[in-house]
Amino acid sequence: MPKKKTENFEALCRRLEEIVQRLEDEQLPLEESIKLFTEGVTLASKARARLEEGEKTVQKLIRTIDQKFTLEELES
Amino acid sequence: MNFTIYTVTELTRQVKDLIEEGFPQLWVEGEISNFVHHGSGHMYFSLKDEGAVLRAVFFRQYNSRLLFRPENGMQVLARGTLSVYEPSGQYQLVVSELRPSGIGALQIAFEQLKARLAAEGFFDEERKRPLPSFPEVVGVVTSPTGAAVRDIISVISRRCPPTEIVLCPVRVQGEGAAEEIAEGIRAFGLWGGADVLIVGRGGGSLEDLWAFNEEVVARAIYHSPVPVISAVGHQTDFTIADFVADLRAPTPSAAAEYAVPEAAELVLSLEDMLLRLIGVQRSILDTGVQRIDELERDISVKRLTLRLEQHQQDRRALVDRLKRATVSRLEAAKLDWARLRESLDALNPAAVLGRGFSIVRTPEGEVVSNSDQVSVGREVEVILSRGGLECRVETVHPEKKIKTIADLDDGVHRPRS
Repeated sequence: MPKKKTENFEALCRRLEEIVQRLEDEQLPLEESIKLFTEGVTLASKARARLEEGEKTVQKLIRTIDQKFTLEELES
Repeated sequence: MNFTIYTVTELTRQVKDLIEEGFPQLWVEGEISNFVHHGSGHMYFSLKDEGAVLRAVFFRQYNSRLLFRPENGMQVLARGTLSVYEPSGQYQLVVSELRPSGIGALQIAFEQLKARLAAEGFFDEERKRPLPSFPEVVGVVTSPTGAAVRDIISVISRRCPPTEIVLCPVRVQGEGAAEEIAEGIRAFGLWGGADVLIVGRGGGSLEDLWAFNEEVVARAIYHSPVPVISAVGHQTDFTIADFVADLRAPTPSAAAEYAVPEAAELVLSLEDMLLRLIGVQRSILDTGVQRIDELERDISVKRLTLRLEQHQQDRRALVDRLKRATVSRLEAAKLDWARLRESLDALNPAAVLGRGFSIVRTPEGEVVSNSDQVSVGREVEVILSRGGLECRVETVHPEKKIKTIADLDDGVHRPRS
């Protein structure tokens, strides 16, 4: 199993939506709303950073002798 | 007359040689009938047309490569050689290759496999999975050379640079290609690092695309834990892989567009979301500030009322104190007045007179307090507590007087002079 990015973009966006929805629909106490707001801003900037990452190099999937998988740079 | 008398074996042998040499490898067209697929794997059938019937045998080692299932009534093209089976005196066609005539073996195979897999539920809409809205890694199963892989890489890099691309290079046509493609799909499933797969190749003929019609590829896609987008050939080409895949794309470029979102658009919708977030928080804060203002006003009014009440209370207390002070002053004043009167009374000459003293006045009205003031024979007036006397001085005693406390003092402190 390869190392997955700890902040899955989809998860970031879903949580952000959830936060905005809660703030818009629920009557939250002020402190709670500030906490959520802060979290929301953090999520938005993390997501933004992900989107602005540069182009990645293409890799090749290789199966090794012991039936494990590894990635190799692809020269095209 | 000379007759050659053959034995059956000799004759049959000669017929066999004649037939087998006279008819080397040939193609025969006819309709299949009496088809039997024996348990041994060998196929036995007859080829017939309106005029004749030809027995045929299709041995297992040849028929295993069949792309379709022969059925009675099918028009076929059979390639093979004639042979005579001496023990039964039968000649037959030993088939090495069989093709449907007319439509084409591939086409028939395609239809047959499609029907079979459809029946097994491979194409059901319900089992098709939704694609991830933002794949972190796209797995690609295709040829490492050719336009397909270049198009896919270029589209993904442009549309969504953060997404990683992992290629499992395979042959996409020819012997063994189907197995390689299936293996690639399975490898991605085992590796687990890809969020979506693109499986496909560029355009070509039905034979070129054939690998994607093979059952092994269909099964690999069906069992893939990762959603699969198929992209085989051109717009109008539909392969079995396309039917089994979770999504079919008309071209490899289209597949890449389906696979990843446009990052630029996502940035805009993120900004939108951020605006909503700020907006809603601002209105929450505004509402909060409003409430605080209201509460403050509330508090001010309350405070004012409280102070007012306090004032009133203080005032009442003061008034009470004033009242009480006034009363006691009045009492004190009364007391003072009473004492004063008493003192005054004591000093009142009338009281003094009451005690037995008298006032001696000259006729001129001068009060006599000293014996020097009068001489013998003078007339004086004596005023008593009640009444008065008119007297004449008979004798004057200059030294006689009543002792006072001062005199007593004098007697003690001063030396006798």
